[in-house]
Amino acid sequence: MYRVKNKKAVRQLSRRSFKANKSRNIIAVFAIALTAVLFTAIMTVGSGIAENFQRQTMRQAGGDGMGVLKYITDQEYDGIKGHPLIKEMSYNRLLCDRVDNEELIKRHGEFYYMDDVAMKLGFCEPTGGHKPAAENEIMMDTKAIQLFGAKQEVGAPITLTLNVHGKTVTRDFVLSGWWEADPVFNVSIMVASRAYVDAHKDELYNSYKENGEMTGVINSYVMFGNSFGLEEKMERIITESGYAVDENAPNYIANNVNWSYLSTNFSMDLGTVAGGLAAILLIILTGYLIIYNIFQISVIKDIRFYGLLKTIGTTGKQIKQMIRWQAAVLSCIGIPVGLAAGYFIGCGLVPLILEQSIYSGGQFTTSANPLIFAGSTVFALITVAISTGKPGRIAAGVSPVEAVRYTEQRKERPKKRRKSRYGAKISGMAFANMGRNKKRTALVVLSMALSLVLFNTVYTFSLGFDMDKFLSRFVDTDYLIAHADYFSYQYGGPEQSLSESMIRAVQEQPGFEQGGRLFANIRDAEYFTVEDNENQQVVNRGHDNNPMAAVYGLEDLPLERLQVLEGEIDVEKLRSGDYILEGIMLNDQDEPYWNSSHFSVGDKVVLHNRKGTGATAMENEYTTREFTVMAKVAVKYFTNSCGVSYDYTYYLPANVYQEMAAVPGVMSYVYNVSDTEEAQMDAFLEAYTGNIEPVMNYSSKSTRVKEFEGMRNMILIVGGLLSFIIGLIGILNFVNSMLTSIITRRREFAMLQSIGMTGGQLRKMLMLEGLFYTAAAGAAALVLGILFSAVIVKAIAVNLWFFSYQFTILPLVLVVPVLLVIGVLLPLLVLRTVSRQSIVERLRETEE
Amino acid sequence: MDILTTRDLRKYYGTGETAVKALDGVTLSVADGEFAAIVGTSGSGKSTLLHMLGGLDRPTSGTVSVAGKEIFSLKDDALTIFRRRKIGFIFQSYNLVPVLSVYENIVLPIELDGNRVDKAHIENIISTLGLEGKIHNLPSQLSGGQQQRVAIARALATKPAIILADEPTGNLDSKTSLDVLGLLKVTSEKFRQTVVMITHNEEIAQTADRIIRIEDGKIAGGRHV
Repeated sequence: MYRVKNKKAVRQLSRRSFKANKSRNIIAVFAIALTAVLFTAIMTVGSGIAENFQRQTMRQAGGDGMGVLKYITDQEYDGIKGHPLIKEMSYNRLLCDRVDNEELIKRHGEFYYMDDVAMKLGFCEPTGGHKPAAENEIMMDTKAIQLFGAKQEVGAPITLTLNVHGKTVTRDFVLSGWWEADPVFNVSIMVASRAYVDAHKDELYNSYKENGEMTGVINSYVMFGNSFGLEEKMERIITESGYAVDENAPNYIANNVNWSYLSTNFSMDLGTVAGGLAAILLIILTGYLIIYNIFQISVIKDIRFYGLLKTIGTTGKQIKQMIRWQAAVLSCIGIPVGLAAGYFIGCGLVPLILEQSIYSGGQFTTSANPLIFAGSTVFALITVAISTGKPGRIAAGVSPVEAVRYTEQRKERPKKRRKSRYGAKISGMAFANMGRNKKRTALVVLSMALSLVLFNTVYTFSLGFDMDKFLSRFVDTDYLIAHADYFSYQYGGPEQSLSESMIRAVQEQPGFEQGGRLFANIRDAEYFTVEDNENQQVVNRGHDNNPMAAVYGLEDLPLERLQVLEGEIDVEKLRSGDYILEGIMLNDQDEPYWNSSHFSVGDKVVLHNRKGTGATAMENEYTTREFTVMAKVAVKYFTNSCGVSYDYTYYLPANVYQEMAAVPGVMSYVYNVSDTEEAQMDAFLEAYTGNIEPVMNYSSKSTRVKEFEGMRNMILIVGGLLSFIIGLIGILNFVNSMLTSIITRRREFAMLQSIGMTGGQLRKMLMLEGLFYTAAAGAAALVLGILFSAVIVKAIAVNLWFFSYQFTILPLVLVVPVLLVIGVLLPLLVLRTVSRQSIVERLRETEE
Repeated sequence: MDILTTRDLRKYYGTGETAVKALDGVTLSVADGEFAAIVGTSGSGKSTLLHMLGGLDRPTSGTVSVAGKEIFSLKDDALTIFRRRKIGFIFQSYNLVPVLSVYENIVLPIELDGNRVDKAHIENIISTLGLEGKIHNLPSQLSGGQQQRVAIARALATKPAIILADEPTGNLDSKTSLDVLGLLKVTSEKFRQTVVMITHNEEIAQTADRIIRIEDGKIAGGRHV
């Protein structure tokens, strides 16, 4: 092979033909930038959401260590620390059993020594001041400082009352630093210095295994290289360091893996991966169609130029190089622009999307992960490469002679004969022209029809969302207020009680009508059990081996709102304390699950609970009380239950419940407000839960309405966007199809005009062609849309409880005429751009 | 009677020093029923002349009259309509519409005009040109000679005042050329059509009644055969 130095010539040719295609270049840069924007935005959003979700779960878990070794000694810490699997290992040493300060009753305190790794993993690095160094220095979160009533400044005095191995000691400290309190983290963390640990070595012995005392134990958070197979890795570092994971072994080390890693790993599976892949493919497809169209059109327009190049000896390979070079230059401009724009759009979208999620109200960060940009660049380049490949092949493959008379080559054999059914009518010609490239016609028609069908389906869905059905499930009274944990279904007992101060605050608001508390002690020391010897299948049993029961005490308003399923409620009799109401679960269609009923009306029910103020159930008094079932009522998941299903649910009047529990937990407070004051109440609650008692939360008819609309809008936006993109693809295909067909038929039109077709007739023919395309798409969309709506949407609707199916083809009826207008107008626009040459010029194209 | 006359027809491309005088004062007339050949070398201006005669391009100055009508006084669309009624075209590259059958191609100018097709006349043309078996075929299934015969049929279909043929045999081999030419001559006589044909081929030109020679945009002489 001869190696010829022709690079320079090819480069020069590319540059010249590049310059000649100015408007194509601008459009192509836009298209490439758009593709890069889409990639970057979706990746930024994806990584931002993942990042924030993981961070949020970690905040709830209290740290971002992948696993934790619990209650270990210094000796055990040193023994495991050197294990090769461990990347980082923290040292968190508890300095007392309890912090007994009055100020920390609501948000209990934990007092630690932490090394630097521990501060990092526990989100406890100082944002103001410095880390504690002297023996009397202490660092804590801003919320704790606020609770102590101290000033947020270095040197502020703080006195702690500590329970150290059962003995109460009081010590004075000064504040050395602080970090911003995390609203979802409901513990006050305080950190002392190494000097403090050294000074109190004697009291910090580890006696956990003997008596369960926490003072002096070390909890060590561990980071590995990656988060795969965490459980196995934890086991390995323990056993390979000479300790045991068997609970009964003398050298047992308790350990746990961080469930936030487990959950994110799990959700990265299938659904997310498939969704992400689908999104990327959709973007590649969109980008491909736009960029491909641009290059295809430009190549076909310049086909004679490429033919000419071939005649004078340019090889196909060199022509391909020319086109690739041009694509590369365009990418160099388009991709960086797209990356920047996409990143900013993505950053803007992350908080918007997360606001819709359960984690609303927090602060969100989106880091500029270099992977986002690398990935987007690669995908954008792939898209450009795929899109310019075929136009390049067309240009390279053109024969010098044929380039001159290039019309799109049809691949299928033309049919032999044609019956003159249509005569030479203009409409007949237009119809026949659609058959020139059957594959493309089908593609154009289908992609336009598909987007219409999708749009119609999405609309049908959003139309069927039934607000009344939705509200009836969530809303019983106008408002419900409770501890934030209640809304994440973690309410257990008095520790998560709704504060009386908040109840008073709402009662004082204008328009307050009537309200009532719901009491419950579900998963705390005073839990309830019920005697039922016939049911052996219950898994959740208490210490007395009886099934656990959820027992609620209701004040008047919630009691009146109960939905009676069987029997009758006599409130006076109920208050006597001899009667009880049995709760029955409802299914999605609000029909009772009768097998969640265990007794008949009139039956005796025996409840037990552990009455007392002890920290554990065993410290409390075991009580027994017998009731008669008066009636059966519905358990409303979101209004009169803790949100977790129990096999046994009972309702009692508040006075009876208060007799039974020593510290009745206030699960929630429901109330009504006069209609005119609702907006004001909403504003009040938002401000109150935001500033005054951030641990409390609320749900109102209007928040539920917002939630409902958010959901409906999400479907409309996502679905609408999807139909828009597919529609755009369809229209672009249509544009491409019209453009190539008109460009390649320039000479044919000139000939038609020379034998007497007027400009008007030519326009009419092309308009009819466009009309046929869009009419076919519209017809296909109508048929498919009706089928989809009547069969598929209806089938899905049956399974959605908040959905009332309504048949509609309104979107189709509205959009199809628009499409028809586009179909008529588009060919005219295209024709105008190509028919500036005179007939003779166009006729001559072949002959010279 | 003259069916076609031109007076001092000029077509200049560009201006000033660099102006190219494609036609430089052509005055000629063609009588009704005549079969005239315009011959000239490449670049002599013969194609430009034909385009002017057919109203496909507008001259810089001068007039063209077809059947007593001065065609450049017409607006574009009116000119197109005049063209499809009074002038038939035959091109070197046939220029048939690929998606229409032979029959549809032939009647296309009539239907573009919105007129009823004179079936007897069309059938007469088709049989004269020997296209009976092919009328439902698409152009892509025909040979070059057959395609050009369809083009001739199409030019005759509207019973025009004059047929303009631009190198009608340029793409055909010599035997087929003579066949096609013979058919053109026979049909034009049969349907009493005036034909103006452009060619650079002396031998082909010899079949005409009259030869008009053109050089550098001017009539260089002519004779009746």
